[in-house]
Amino acid sequence: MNRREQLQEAYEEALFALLMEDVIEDEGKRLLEENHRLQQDPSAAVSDKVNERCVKTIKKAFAKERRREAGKVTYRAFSKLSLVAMLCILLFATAFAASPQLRVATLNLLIEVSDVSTELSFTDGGAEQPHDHETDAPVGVYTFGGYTIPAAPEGLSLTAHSQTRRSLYIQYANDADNAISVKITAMSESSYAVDTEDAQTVEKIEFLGFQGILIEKNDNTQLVWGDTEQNVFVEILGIGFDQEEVLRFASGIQRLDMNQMPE
Amino acid sequence: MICTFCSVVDDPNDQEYMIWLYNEFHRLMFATAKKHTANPSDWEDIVQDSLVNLMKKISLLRAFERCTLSAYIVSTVRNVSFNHLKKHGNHVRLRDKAQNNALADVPYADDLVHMIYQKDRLSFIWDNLPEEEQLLLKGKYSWGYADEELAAVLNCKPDSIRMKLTRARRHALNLMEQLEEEQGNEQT
Repeated sequence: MNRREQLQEAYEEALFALLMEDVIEDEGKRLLEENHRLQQDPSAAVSDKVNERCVKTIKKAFAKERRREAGKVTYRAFSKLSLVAMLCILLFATAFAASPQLRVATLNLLIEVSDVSTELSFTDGGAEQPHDHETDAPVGVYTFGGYTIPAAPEGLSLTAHSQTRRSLYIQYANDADNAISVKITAMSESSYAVDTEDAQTVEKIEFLGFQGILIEKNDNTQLVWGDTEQNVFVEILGIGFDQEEVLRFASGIQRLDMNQMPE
Repeated sequence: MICTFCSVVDDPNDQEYMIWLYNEFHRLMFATAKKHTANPSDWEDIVQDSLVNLMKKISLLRAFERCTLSAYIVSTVRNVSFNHLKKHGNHVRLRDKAQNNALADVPYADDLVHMIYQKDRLSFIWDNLPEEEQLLLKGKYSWGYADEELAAVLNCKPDSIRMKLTRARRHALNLMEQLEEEQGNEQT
């Protein structure tokens, strides 16, 4: 179709749209007259029951349309909410993955036990260094991260000691190679793994108000807890000592409250 | 959220308007349905389906003058009747008149101009057009049906609607020109 033919077609369409107005008006007048005649004609009457059913159809159709529109509005609202929620989750996850501070600050201490190890991970607290403090503790009494390690129990003597900015290790032992050690580690990673493979018992406990685990494996007893205020893991290992003895030793460990820490 | 939900609820006047429309024109609607099927059980179905269709065009209906409204309602009932018959396997045969296929007689644009002032002629020759052409011209230019809607009513492919419309227009224009010539001869 060339341009002239296109223009002619468009012109004809516009013309007929105009001409049809009068055709419809004439037809409509005839139909109104017929409608008026039917309204006067008893034989054209429609029964009341049929009328009721038709009016009911109108009402049902409107009710259905209202439900459909309400569903659409609800769906749109929830779609928007879901989108906003997903964006928030995405932003939070990105910040969470990128920021160790945020990770540590928002998680609580989790203890996850698997077949070969138990992992303690911080889910609360920050990644700050443990508060170090000087005390008036006598020589031979070791302190780190708010903890004061008691002196060697009777029958045991100090056999190992090391202290860095991030950890303290103390071991007391006897001639029979029974030993009890304390290791306090500042949290640099968010988790601390403990060997629980083939352990006889692995029990979750609470010690000094913190969650921890108590492991019995062979002749050894191990007590580990995570101090979420000082951000340290404390591990007490008793080689050749049972649960009661290790717990008795651990009860001698003193912990300073954060409020009692010197500034 | 509350404001949004309030806007979802239809204007209660729409329902009242439809009920008024039904009460006003229900006899005409049933009379139209009766023209297309002799089965009484179909009449109510056709009228109810027509009401549902009309409900979807309520904003258009409200804008019509009363005579145009009655023509639209009857067109709707007729189209629904055709669909109803087709669904039940009945062949819809539209009233046919002899068609003038002499496309060479199409008046040019210059001739069309003066016809705008003779729009009565279309009304005059309207009944001489086959029912299919009437449906096409009314559906396209009065009611604004899409090609697909027209194709569904006429039981043909949407692609063929454009050619059918062109033929319908040309046929109507031919008849109008013949009428003008006859009127011109009578005057002389």
